[in-house]
Amino acid sequence: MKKSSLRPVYGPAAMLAFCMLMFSGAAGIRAAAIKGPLRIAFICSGSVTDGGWNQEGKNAILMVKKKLHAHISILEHISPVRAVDVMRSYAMRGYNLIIGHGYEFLIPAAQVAATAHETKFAVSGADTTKPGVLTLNFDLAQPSYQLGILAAMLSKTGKIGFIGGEAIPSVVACYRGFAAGAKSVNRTIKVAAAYTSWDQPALSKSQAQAFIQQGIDVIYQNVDAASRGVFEAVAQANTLGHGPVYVFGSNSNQNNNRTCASYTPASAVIRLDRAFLRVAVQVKRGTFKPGVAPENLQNGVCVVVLNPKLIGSVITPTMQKAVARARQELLTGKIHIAP
Amino acid sequence: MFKRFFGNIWSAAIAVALAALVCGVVLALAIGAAALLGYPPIRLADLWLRGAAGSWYALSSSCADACPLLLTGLAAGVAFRAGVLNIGAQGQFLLGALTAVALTTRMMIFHQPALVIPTALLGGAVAGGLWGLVAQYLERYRSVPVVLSTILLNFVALYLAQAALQGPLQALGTAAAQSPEIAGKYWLPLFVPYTDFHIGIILALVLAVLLWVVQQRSIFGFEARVVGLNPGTARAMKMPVTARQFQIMFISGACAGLGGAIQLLGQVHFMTAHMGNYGYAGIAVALLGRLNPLGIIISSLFFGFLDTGAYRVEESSLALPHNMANVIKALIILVMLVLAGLSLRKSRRADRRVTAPAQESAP
Repeated sequence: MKKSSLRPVYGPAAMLAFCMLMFSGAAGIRAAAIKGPLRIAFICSGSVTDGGWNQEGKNAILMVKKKLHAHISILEHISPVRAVDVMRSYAMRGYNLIIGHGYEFLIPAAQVAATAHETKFAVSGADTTKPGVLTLNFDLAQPSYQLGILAAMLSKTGKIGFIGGEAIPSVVACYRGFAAGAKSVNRTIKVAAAYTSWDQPALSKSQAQAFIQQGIDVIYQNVDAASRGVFEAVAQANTLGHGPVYVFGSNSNQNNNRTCASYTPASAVIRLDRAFLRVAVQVKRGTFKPGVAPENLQNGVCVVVLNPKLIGSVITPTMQKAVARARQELLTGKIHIAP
Repeated sequence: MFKRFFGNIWSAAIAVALAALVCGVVLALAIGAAALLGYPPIRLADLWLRGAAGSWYALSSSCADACPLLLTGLAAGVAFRAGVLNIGAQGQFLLGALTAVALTTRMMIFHQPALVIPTALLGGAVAGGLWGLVAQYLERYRSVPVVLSTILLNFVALYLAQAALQGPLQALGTAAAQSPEIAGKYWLPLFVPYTDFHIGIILALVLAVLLWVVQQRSIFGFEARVVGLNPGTARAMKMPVTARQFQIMFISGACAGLGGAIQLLGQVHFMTAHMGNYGYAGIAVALLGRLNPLGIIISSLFFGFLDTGAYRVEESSLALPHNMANVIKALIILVMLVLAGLSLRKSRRADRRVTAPAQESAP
């Protein structure tokens, strides 16, 4: 009886394993100002080429590098499991600021911050905070409200849809803002919602196709790397004459996407560069304070960017005025989006 | 008896030596390839080694990363050796972690660490084992292949974890799908202060040795191997094939579940649904260790060192993408498969040579 050789029955299991591997991210104390170049580490759980959240984060940190002549280190695909080890390693090597790009880094950051008093920790996209950590709480609900108004005015069928990557707080807030904005224009409008995946374009594409078959003619997506699938579904629908069907971008400015830029009237954009630069400057000057920093329309971090190529053709002056008016009312507090 | 014992040790040593040789050759090739891409090879190797084992902290970090891989590797190794194709270690790992988080954040027994920690570890192991039994039940009584059901049950476990983390196990004060942080008194104690050397690592090593002893030196282990090699023969020898398959599946799932619990109490201390692909990576670890528990110890350490070192290289000014480590792991598995295929072909040829003259001489 042979003991050591692998039996042929293990072949499928081995190939599966192979494929999986191949395709398979001091509260309250005022610190002294930092002399010399700032050392900043940026970690995110996805790919920095996802065309959305993570890519925008990378671009923002590169902008900080350019403006402050800082030393930057970027790590992608860091799961919360690895985050403590990675953050501690950066802290031990004297990094001044570590930015965890996503709510999943909040607890790891707090764990490391408890012992690494010389390093400052910021986490983007969380809605609460922990001792020693500054949370950047992005409120995309306000720009989503403006997009909802635009969607209701663009829709001919009275049906619009939202596709999110995951039902996490920041994404659900987008849906709520979008639905509230649309209903402020048309009380009877139907707003469908679905949550698919951040990194499976095929899944988001089939969801978008299902929406279009149901008569939905404006889709607002917040699915990062999977957005390509939604853009493809919209482009196909317009080519096949089911249109016009429009799509909105999110997180980064996706108005000039290669697939269907002429059907992307606007994007809800997080100006991460502004937020990261502000935090980096605070660390540099020694004014960094842990806590929750609301990042919204008021401080110009979360905004709507209209596609300039579609202004006048798809986006009429009436729509432009309605979006601008909503912005003013959101800024003055006249409109409040229910949580 | 001594001869048999040292014979077993010898076969384990051959497995380890072969795995080490393959790893070394592939690593050397990878560093050569990196040099061709313009990365300084000596600095790269130096950074990689220092990152993985250049200090007590780095060493502990590599070992802590290897710990869940060892347990999911054991889960795959034990099952494959007995012919139970458990691809569901990922789901069992998640359920083990989920049970541990429930027992340490919601159902703390008398709030005593001496009671809570063992209960959480045991609970994690039992949850993983029971989850494995579901697949085995489906195969035995509903003719659903274990390979299929375990893969599908991985997704069920993932969404179950997500639902629990957005429901009863969700942290207060956030709408995010994550558990609260486990209180410090329920973390696994460290046996070297200010490092990642937690007692879960020792527990995993002891379990691996124990499984090797059971596999090689007990009737249960012998029967499990016979069931894996040829269930028909095992039945003819009046071995309880079904019972052994159920027991092995439970042990396999329990190893993965314990991995999840140890990872949670020893390393991460809170849970999201994204706990890493340790279950799938465990299959590769088991194959590299030639399904031998002692070989799996070495291969899991190798994977842990490779991963931790790769992160340090990526963090450095060289910024070599961490995916390079995944490419190396995949190449190692491919080389091991090719070697296994060659050895199988050789043994079949030898079998034919033995059986052919026997048939000729028959009247």
